[in-house]
Amino acid sequence: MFSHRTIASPDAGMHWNKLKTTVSKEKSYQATVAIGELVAEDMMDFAGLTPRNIDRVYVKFRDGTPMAAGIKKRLPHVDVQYIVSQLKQGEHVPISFWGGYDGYSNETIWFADPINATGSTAIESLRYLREHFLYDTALLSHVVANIQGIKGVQTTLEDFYTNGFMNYAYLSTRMHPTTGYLMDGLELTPDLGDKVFGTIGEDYSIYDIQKDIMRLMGTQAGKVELLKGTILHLIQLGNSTRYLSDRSASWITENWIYSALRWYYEVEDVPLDIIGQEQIITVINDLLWRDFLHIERRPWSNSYANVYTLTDDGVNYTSRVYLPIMNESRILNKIGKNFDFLIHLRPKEIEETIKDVNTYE
Amino acid sequence: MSEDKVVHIIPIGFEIDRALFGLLELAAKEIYLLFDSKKDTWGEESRKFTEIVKERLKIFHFNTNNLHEVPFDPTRYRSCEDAISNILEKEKTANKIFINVSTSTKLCAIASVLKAMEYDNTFLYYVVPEKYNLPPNGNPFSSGAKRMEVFSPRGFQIGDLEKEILQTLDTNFYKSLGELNKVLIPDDVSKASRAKLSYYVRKLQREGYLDFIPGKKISITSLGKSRLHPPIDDAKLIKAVNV
Repeated sequence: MFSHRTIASPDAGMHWNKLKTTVSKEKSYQATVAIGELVAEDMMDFAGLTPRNIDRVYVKFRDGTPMAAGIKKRLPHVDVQYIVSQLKQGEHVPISFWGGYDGYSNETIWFADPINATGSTAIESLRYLREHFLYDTALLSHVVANIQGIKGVQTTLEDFYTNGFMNYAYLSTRMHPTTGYLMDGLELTPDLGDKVFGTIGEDYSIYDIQKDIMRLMGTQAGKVELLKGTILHLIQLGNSTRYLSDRSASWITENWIYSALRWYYEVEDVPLDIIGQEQIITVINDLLWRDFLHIERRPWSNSYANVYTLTDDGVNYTSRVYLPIMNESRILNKIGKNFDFLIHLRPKEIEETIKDVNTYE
Repeated sequence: MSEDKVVHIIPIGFEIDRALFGLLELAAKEIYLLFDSKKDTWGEESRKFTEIVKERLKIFHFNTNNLHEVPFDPTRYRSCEDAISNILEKEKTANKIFINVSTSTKLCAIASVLKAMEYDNTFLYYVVPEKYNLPPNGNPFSSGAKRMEVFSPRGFQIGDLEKEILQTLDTNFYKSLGELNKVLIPDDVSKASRAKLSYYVRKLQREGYLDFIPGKKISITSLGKSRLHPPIDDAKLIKAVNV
């Protein structure tokens, strides 16, 4: 019977939250390595083992790399071997050793796979290992495990006797019925491999990510997504090479972003949901937290101004996900049309023009 | 930067000693004599003084290869500005450039001051004469007042649209941005177009070129007019003053 638990360390939640919400491949990678360290430490305690009991960890090819790096940090002596799982074929997930079976055996085997959604890869991998050598104790470590995947592992492997221990940083309870992706799992880039390697769209298609956002259109959440996309696009345009050397171009500050958004809403009838500056600051802070943005504090007047630029991952995500959606919503054209005018205005000047056209014909 | 290159710009008016004094006091490697090239009494009289100044320079053994004569019209602001600008730009690597603002017209002195502010190597000097020669019979130097020209001391680069706005307002005034929009950009009468006009109109207003009361009035000011039509001193010269 497999026992399972969430990693006892409070740091696990922190790292999971970072991994879940960021678009930064570096931060995703770092968070997954940190979770790898924590699962290793927790598993020793959970399964009552010492490092001497473990000499090898099998990890899922590609996605498992940063987690394996974390495990190796905690247990430097262990060997790390890849297990390759191919696309699911019917109910079956074809499994193989990277480079073939090398004759290895141990009473305790350990398989680390960052995401356990339905449990298929874990089950098939343990069966595959069992076909090559007998073991008494199976250890499974995940960044996130869905309750359905845990049940699957617990019930499907009853046909051979095994002591089993499974640990994870986050327990998921919601799974998409057809795609098998976790609905309370990774945000923005639903596939871990895409997230940690910055290969957005390689495993989980861009089309599906866009479709998820488009489904929200017409709702408040959809309006917030359009607002996010517009803010990101304004920052992207403002930091294009054309304006970087233009000393008359405005700094992209919170005030400028707010006034420019108001201008597009009031003057160009761009369908944006702008309630107030506080709301815009909340969205900007969210984009900062998710690593779309970089902030630079520049001395200004008697204080500082926060000037925003997009991170490389922010540029990648904005261009591939948000811009096509904004194009479809006919916002992109309107933004581009008058951007060169607005970038040369200070927030106060933008507000003056809004007042002039709204008050008088 | 040419370490030892000292340049003088001397607009010649109706004076000799004040034109030469600065050269002797400050030394000079290169001299630009700005002479009035108009074919009228002003020009003819002024050129006589130019010839005298050149003769004096020969007496001082100044190398005439380094003497440049630049024609200009000291009664037209734009002509003064262009002549001064061209020399300042050409000599921007010189160690020092001195402009004599005690000779020639006041329009020329104003243009010299405003242009000199744009160049770090440029300085102005004013020569105080020993005595002034007043017009005879207690007459003033000028009589009557024809009109007034207003200047802005600030450098302001004017764009195409701003120039079009000023030109449109030069002959008419409008009540609103909407009205101005219809005349200026008839192909794009939109809120966005009005918003852009609002910005440029307010910018011109801040520079003093326009009066703008939203919804009531947009009109050009004297300063705006002088921007479109740079000042000209076209007063008559009465040679024998016997009023």
